[in-house]
Amino acid sequence: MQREMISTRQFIYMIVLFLFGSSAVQGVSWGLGQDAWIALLLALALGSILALMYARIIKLFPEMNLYDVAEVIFGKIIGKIIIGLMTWYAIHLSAIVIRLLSEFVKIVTMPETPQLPMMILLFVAAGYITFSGIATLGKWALFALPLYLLILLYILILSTAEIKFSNILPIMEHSVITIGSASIKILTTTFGGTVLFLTLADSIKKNDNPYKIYLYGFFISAVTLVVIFLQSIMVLGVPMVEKSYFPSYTAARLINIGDFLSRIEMIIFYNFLLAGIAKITICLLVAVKGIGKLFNSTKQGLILFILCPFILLISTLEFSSVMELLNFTDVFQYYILPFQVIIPIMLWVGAEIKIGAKSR
Amino acid sequence: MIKRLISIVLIIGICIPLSGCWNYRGLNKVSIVTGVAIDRNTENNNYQLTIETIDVSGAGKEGTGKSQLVEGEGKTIFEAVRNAKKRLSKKLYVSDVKVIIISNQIARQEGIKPSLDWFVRDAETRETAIPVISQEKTAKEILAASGVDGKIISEELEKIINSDREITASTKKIASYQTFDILLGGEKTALVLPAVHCTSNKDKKVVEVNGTAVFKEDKLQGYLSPEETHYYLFAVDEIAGGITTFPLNKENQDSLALEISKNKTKKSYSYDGNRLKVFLDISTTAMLGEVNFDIDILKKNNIEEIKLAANLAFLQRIEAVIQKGRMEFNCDIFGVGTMIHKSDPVLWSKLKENWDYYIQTMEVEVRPEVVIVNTGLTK
Repeated sequence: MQREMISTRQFIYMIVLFLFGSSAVQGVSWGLGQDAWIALLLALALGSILALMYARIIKLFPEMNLYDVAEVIFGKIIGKIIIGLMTWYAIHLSAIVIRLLSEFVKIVTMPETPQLPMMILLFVAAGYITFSGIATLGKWALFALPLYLLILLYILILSTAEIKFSNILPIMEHSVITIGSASIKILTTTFGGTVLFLTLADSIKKNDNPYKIYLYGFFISAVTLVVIFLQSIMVLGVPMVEKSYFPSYTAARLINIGDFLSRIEMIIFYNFLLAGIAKITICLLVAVKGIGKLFNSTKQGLILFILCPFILLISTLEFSSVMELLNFTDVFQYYILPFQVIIPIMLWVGAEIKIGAKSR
Repeated sequence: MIKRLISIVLIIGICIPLSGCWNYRGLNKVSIVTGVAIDRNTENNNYQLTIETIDVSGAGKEGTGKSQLVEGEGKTIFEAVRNAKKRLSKKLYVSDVKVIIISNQIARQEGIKPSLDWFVRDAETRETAIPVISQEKTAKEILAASGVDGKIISEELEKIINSDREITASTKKIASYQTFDILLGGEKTALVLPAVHCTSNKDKKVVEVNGTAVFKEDKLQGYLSPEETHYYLFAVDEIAGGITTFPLNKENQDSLALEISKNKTKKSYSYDGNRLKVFLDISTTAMLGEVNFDIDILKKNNIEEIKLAANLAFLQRIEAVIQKGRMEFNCDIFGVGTMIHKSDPVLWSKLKENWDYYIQTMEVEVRPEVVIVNTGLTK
């Protein structure tokens, strides 16, 4: 397949949308109450370290993606294993995201509408973007992110009537250990997922700066997530945020301006959809590329056609209820360690050795 | 050719789920609920709900819509709402519930948290509904009475309560999500809800807001009269209007009326390891609205006298309300716990276990400062 190049800006936007994917829906308060924003910023700091490692790998092998890099460093066999693992990660992640999104729709808006058709439709949309290639995704991201942020700004301005600043006090009520462990959770569920972008790195031009891409992307999304969180806490108060499944949605329900502008929470629903589709599309892209590499095929359409039902199968079978889905994050933070940390470290160390040997 | 055929089949196939969803409801097939009254049936211990719905068919605006009462009974609130369908042709649409009226028996005996759970958990109900306590024998009587202005009681009540803060300052404005915050929070602030009763107006029974109901945890402890609530609102910094009447000196009756235009209450505390002392600095900007006797306002002495009398009246009455909240109801009525928690969480975790003791023994000092900016059109 023809390789398509993406500008820095498009890549940054893609990363930001990906990071919004499920975090904006779920909210980030893992039992921390009003201190969750501190955990978020801590996760940003830790994530930046990861990002530096990811970007370094890209820099060492410009215009090559993770799959090629793995084969170059470790040879065919181990390389293929790594490709398989990353592809599986992408598949699993997209299954989780689409399940979360359809659960949200089911709980909030359409309890009687069956989930499977909804998920199929989401896959039709995401699959089509994937089929059109990464350049289409980049151009779409250029349009989708400003739209997302605009909607967010709109909601923020409208909810200023209900904001109580004292709701974020007392600051640092929780111990550093609690905040630290929660920030690890946030790190793994959101920022760490960007390891998948290494597999799309062959679309970054040689002269572009991967550090800039990753760090800008992380920073923008972290700031926005903090803002979303602060809005939910200041409007709802800590106990309600803890109790709700979808705090920013619940907060938006309270908006009632002049008795006629109310019930606009559906706009948040639209935001979720946007970010969710972005995340699913990116995961699909990674998976399709991986399978293509594994089986030496370039028939993207066919791979997609077989992959999507497979992902649907996983997402419907893996969890029997929303509670299981949300409890899975406790396991998830350990489960993704090989994907987000171990494999990249192996690749990075291997890359440094390889490049070091070459330059001698 | 084959490609075209497949494309056409696929397009038609995609159109099928796109054409609409299972959850479509036409407006003429739903009954819009504006208010719910919750009682307990003493015979079989079921919840008895009285639901006020708007009949949309006869109306262009809600002002001319008629309201209708439907009753439902069940072991839980959700069941009772569904059971009401047994006598209704249309399904109930609860996304517009404005008030939740709870009978004082439920509030006293079992607490209101079980009753409110459904209103927050259900995706259709709105968290902006106002929970209200009925001072009559049952909550149903409130909805069965008539309103002075319009026919839909729930809407009337909601409008009265929401505009109260600036106009009469005799009750509290609160929504169900704030109620839940207080009930679930660990800060042990007393929950205060508006209280409603029926009075007669031109020989008709009408609904009137009558002060507030004070809770400890989620059980009703007692009521504050509208006048006491007025001073309670000063203590919690939620007053933005209203009239305060007070006498010039001890012998006179209440003969001066101040209209509050602005108020700011600053709470602070000091803890010396043993005793908790709370300070309330109240600065009020007011206009002298009515003087029932002869006095030359422009004379400086007189203004000073009036100011002192106002300060004294505020001091005495606010302290009385705080005292009542602490001693009679034994609850943290004006949020001292919240204040300590937010500024010094370590201290709060120390005091929290014996909070009842601290409520009873804390010293409260009220320091009101009234500024009278004008006296209307006449001197």
